[in-house]
Amino acid sequence: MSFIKFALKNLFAHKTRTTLTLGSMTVAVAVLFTLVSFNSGYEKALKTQLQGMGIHMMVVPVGCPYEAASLILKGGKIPNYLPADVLKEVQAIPEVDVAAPMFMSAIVRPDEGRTDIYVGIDSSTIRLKNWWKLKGKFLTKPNDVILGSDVKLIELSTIGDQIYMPEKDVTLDVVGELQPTGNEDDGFFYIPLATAQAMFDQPDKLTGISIRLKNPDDAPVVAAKLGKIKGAEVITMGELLGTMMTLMGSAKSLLLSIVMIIIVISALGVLNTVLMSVFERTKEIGVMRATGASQAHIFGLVWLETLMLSLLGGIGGLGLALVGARALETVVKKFLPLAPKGSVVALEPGSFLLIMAFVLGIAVVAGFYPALRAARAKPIEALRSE
Amino acid sequence: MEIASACTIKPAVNAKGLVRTYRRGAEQIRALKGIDLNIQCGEFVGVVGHSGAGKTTLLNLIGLMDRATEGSLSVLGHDTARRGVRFDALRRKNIGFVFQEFYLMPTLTALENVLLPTMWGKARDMTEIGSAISDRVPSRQRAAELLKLVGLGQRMTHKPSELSGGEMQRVAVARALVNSPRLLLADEPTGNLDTVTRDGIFNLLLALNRDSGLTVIVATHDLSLESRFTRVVRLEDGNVV
Repeated sequence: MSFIKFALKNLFAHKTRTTLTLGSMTVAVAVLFTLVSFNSGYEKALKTQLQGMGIHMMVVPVGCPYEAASLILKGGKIPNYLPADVLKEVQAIPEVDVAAPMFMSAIVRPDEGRTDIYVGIDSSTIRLKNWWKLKGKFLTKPNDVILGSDVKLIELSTIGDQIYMPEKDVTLDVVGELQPTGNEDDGFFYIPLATAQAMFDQPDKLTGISIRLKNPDDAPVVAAKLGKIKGAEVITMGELLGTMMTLMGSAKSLLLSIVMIIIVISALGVLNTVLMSVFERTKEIGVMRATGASQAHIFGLVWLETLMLSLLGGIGGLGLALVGARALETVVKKFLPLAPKGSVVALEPGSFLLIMAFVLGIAVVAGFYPALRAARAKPIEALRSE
Repeated sequence: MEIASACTIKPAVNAKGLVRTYRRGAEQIRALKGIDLNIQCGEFVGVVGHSGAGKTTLLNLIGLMDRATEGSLSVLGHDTARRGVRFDALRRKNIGFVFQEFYLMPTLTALENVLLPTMWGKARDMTEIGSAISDRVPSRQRAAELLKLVGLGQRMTHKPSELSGGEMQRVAVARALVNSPRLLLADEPTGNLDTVTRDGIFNLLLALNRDSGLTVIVATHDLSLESRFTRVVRLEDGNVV
């Protein structure tokens, strides 16, 4: 009979207790693994999405861009807009390849549970976003509209159809459809810049200018030049990503702290289970000593039981995370302020190994006291115990 | 199959002025009060006496489960008072124990219970535990043969809860023999058994001594068994009388 088999038999001598302890460990590891995977997946998806935009920097009005984005999504007016002449200043910078102006606003339709986002653009956007695959034609007339691929599905409209906007009493002609891009571009109505400005009563105003540089290495130089423009603020994509990650970071730290506490509580559960088992088996430990087991053997056996309990909990947690993470992702994505397209959960073996190392590390500590206690039992006193 | 390792050391057990005192609260109890004892290899010795006479204490000292407070004790040529004597290793290699209450592991089968002492193998510290991890076929065969020897060839896969008292004690005897000991100690091995089963177990111990020359020391309060030992050591209130 092997040590491992013997340890397993000891553990499952009390099925209910061991199963409950295993359950708590499994859930704790699953939650930790899912959170770590979510964090890593979200970061990756966000990076991919931002890099896929082909935009090196953006000029936005002075103020908090996140607050502005939030206001737009709620259909409100942002406090500051960029004057349209800023575009000329930007285009005059020699390092700038393309500068695409944009006016963005939204119409909230609570009865239908949707928010329609209208983006006013001009032909420079087509040059900036050269990966766009457009079916139909680009905007030429004031009432033309191009539908993002998700919008097309929601509106159930196609090229040649008309869309009536009762809030603005405007009828738009669908002239083009965007093939799926895999990012947020799929969710917008694209209309001519001047139409958007007029429709939302902000003539000669912009919500942002997206910029592609001839050489991305010139970003600091261009950022410095753009920084001198009055009322404008420059955000490089690196900064944007960094800020988003910082925002995510505080929430992540809080969540991870909570999960760490859960893991420690689970480890205490493991300690309790093994310690109880040691108390109950005092006589058996006496028999083992009588049959030649040394203190090291008893210590090793009890420690092995703790490690196995944690290891089984860890493997169970992995299984649960693999099954549950995708389902959880669907729920969580609905509540994310900025949900990138694609999967935001990256179940990586490296993360799992790291978590297992952490769990086993805790198990090593948790198992030490029960193992020491068992090993210290004197054979005849252990045999006499009731 | 070799049941026991050859015992060539003379005497197998040698005790002089053996004293063991315990503390029970403020009270000090002298369980053994200066025992002199000499047991030769191959003897079948009965340590008899009433409850509390010191039989178990004496067996625990001989079985290296406890240390004497005073006096000297040599077991199979090893001076137990000497520093550095590893009781666990000595006990594992040389001594088999049978208890009144069988002390079988409830979660293990009869065969696994017999195999228990082999699990500790030759491991002396944590670094050697790995060597005991794999099932060793020779140990398994020996355990199975021992169970057949004690008449439990058909009960190997049964757990203690599925065995009778006599069968459990037979498993305990097989377990005590699995490491080919030189000395077999049995503390009231028939105390919890009916007369017929008692005789069966006692005859088994007797046969082990007679057929393989195993030195057997049996502690019992059953005076009716006295005549069957080759020698009787009578204890009374911690003294040999």
